[in-house]
Amino acid sequence: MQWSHIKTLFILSFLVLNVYLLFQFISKQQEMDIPELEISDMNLDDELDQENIKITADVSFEVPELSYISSSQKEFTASEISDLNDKEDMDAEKSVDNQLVLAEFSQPLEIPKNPTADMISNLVSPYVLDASEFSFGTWNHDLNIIVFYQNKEGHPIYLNQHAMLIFYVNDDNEITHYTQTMVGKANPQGSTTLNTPMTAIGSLLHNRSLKADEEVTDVTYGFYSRIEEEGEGTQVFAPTYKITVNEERDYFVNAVESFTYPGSYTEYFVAMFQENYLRKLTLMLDGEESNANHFISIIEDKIEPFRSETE
Amino acid sequence: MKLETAKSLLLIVLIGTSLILTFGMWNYRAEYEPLNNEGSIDQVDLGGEQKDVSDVVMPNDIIFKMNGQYFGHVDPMDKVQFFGEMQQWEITGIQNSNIAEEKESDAEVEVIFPTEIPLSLFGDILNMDDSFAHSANFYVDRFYIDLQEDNQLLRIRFVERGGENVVEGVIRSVTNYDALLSIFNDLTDDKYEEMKLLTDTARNIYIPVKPKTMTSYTYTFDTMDAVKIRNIMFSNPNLVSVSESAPGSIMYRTDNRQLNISGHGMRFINVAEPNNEPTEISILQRSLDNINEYSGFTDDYRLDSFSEESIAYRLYHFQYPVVNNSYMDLSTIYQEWHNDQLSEYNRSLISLRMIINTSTKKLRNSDEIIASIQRNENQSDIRDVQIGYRLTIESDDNGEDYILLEPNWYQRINNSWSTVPDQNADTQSLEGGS
Repeated sequence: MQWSHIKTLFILSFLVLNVYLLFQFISKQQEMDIPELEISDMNLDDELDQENIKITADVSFEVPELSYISSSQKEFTASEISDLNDKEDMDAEKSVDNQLVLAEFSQPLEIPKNPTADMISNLVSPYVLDASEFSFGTWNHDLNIIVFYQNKEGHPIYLNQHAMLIFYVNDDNEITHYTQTMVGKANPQGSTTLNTPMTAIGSLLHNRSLKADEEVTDVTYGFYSRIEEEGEGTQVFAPTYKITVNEERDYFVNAVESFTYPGSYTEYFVAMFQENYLRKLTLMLDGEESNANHFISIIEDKIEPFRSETE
Repeated sequence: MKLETAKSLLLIVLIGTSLILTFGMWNYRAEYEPLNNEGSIDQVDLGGEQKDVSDVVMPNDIIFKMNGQYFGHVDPMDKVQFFGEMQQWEITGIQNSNIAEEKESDAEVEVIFPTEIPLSLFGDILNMDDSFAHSANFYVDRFYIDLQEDNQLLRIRFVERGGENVVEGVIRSVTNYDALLSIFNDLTDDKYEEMKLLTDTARNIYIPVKPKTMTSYTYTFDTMDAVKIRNIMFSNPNLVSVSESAPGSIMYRTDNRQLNISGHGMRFINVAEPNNEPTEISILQRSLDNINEYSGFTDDYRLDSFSEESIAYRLYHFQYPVVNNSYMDLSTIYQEWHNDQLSEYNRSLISLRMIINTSTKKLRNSDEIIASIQRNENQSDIRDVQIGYRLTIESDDNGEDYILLEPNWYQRINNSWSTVPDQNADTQSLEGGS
């Protein structure tokens, strides 16, 4: 009988022990489990709702498969320039470093009323080198210039002075001149997964670029670089979303690291003219007969009202 | 009996489960994916030491002033050791003080740092029971300790240059008092030497009177691996484009970061606009944390200049500053922070390895130096005059590079060090290329 008692005692004590161990085990499990990283997209909708931010842009497209690309500056050749000069009513030159083409129309191109991007493209494409690589970017009304971006891998390189076609519009709504820069062949860098457009919108919200009661009106993607060094340096372009808010402000959001940059177009163009194009044009003055002089005064006139802001 | 068998079975089951639970607990590891599995790299280590504020903020001079005479340590090691003792002294009763009661003391120590730092930082450098929380905060590059004979205590004072503010505290320790007193009694010892005071310069500068003979050193050195540096500066190295802009000059680039490694140095910029919220951590602490993360203090680097947004550390060799002044400055580590983001980072990538040769060099005597300083048209901008080592990289006949450290007199104008012009060499322009 005694053995039976001992067994009962053992059973009871082991029961208590097991309950204790089970508790320990469960609490340890909870402690060590890393809390699931919050999927920000989940709460983002609520956050946007709360701030009364509407998204009218199409953001349901598939996350693009773009990689970082690197590319160096293209140098224009003499034969390319003479091709341009062969066209009617055109007078083209290149800068001393061969990186900038400037062209003058002896017969200005008239821009049709209420133009669309396509209409402008069709109007200018016969007069431009590699026109198929460029697509309409923006019409800056402060400076009255029409800007085309160069495309790489089928997507535009946003706002980059080394891959840009600029048409200079006069007060009669005519294109009188253009300048062109290009980057060469694109080399893809290592690939990585891109954020969704919603994540990009989220980072705009979190750094307060996107405020209450505003509307996200457009989302597109392409490439963008913040480091634009001249010379032999290679530029690296990151896959980037261009997000338009209220149809008036653009933001560039890096699609990998979510860094956001406001698209301050006028400021960018003025700085670009002052620090890059005008310098190149001045260098051309030393050469023989050139219309660089005329060009300089056109650009100076355009940026004159905005100078003080940037200096 | 049937019940007994059932009980035995139950007992066995219970023992079994308790064993399983115990082992389970011992071996339990949560299964989770490494956070950045893609392109992640092992922690990069440059093999330097971990440094904190008190390791990098060190005085250049400790001057003992008695009866209108000035003395300093002959051996800079003694100076460091004495400062180490000072750091133990317990300072109490920090308070704002009135500059009006300028009571000249007969015996005073002046401790001079290479750069002005916020007063509050001294809380990390000295031993204080209460902080500067209740006192004014201003920038200082020196403090004074004087002996108060009446009540046998030491008074420490921080004086704002050209300003109104004075903050003072006391050291109520007879031991500390006696230690300092005995130094003042021994100033004629060989351990100490007389100094001369220059006052027409931007700061009070002290220069040893006796001519000095010092040693030049030739070192072999290591240059840090470019790939290691790349892995530190870029969070995702496989997105980085590499190009060789000139022979021996490597350029790493992404859309917002650029790292140039050439001539044993590096220059890094980051133009990304950070999304993070600014925090309250001081720039010095942030910079130290950043460099310690990969053990980046590969030699004796000390704080050389300090501002709201930038920090520079200078290499010291046997307690003397090292000056290089080439485009890639090989004697400094420089960081710039904006909105809690490292936006610029230039540094030397060399670490000294082994002395392979030494020679002695007699330095110009103090009269010559003082004459040169006084004749300098920028005299009022000169902030400091120190003996320093000039670092140059030379190649021997086998094309092997080595480092030459040559002692010379240096003057500091703003944040740049240059050789004190040599009067005998006529009006030869400034040597040292700066």
